[in-house]
Amino acid sequence: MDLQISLRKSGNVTIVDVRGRITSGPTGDTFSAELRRLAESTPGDVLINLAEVTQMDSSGVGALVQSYVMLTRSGGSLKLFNPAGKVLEVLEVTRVSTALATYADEVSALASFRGTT
Amino acid sequence: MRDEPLPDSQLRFDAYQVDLRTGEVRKHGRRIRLAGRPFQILALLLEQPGELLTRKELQARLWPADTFVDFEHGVNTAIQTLRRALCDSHKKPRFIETLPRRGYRFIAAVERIQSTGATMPVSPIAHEQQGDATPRPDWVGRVAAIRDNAGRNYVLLPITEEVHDEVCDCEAAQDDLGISLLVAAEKLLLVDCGTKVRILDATNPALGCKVRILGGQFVGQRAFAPRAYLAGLS
Repeated sequence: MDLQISLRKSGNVTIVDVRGRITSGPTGDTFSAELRRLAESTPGDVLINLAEVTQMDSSGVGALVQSYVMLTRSGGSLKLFNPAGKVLEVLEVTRVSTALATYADEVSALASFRGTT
Repeated sequence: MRDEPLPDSQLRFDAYQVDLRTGEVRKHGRRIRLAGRPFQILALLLEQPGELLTRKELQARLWPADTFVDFEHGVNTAIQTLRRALCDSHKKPRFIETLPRRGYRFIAAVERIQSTGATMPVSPIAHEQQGDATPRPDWVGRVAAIRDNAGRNYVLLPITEEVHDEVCDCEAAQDDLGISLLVAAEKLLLVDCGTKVRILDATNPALGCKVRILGGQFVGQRAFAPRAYLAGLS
């Protein structure tokens, strides 16, 4: 499956729903470009839904970490929720799941922006 | 008067060199910070590698009898500091093994550097493991598979030994973002277990080998594979 990315808002938080695989090549490039565009155009709080990401390699990790740095520098933040299976394992091995706040579900992730978690 | 080092005051294990006289510890020649009781404990452990150093001995030798401190906490803290400095883990120790409720044991091979520059094993352990620390030119050109003893599907391979040191520093400082940034910068390569690599250099096989990656996302790239990640070499 190719990569599909859609955006929605919950209050001031931009939620990015990602579906498919994020690997080096076109899908990784698309993911990086979309996150960069988001970080530059609407810096703020961003939440990435990884529930339907089936595969991720270091290009996906790189895009997440670079976007995290960009957003944090501009006063925003980037958090993750719902990674599973091998995607979760990649995030654990690369320490992204501890360096970036990572939540099991959308409700707790959104609550964290309100400071209630 | 010249301040020459006393003979036999220098010890070596893995990539580390310890000067018992000056209290300096170097890794690959670069000085690392280690002082006070953590250094003293290291010196005691290196005196008798392979043998148990009891908590009572530690107390008697490092905490004077009239000292009123929480000795247990002091030992634990000093050991933690020492392990962090050596990039060691209490769960999978490479250097300092905990013997629960009894004490600690240094489990790596230790060599004494003599004034001539020659090295001598300090203990029977050093004799047994000396082959592991000896360069293995016969490995060069061989193909090995990447593995992870913890059963994960991926490992991180540093692109050079220097990056490996940087990762150790990050580990010691619990700097997870630092490690993630190294991955993002492709200085630390995310590699699938089972990926084949060709050995390019095995001058320090106890620590790891320089390799060429033969498959996957990073095919063709050079990396430094820590020894624990290389299967199929003996």
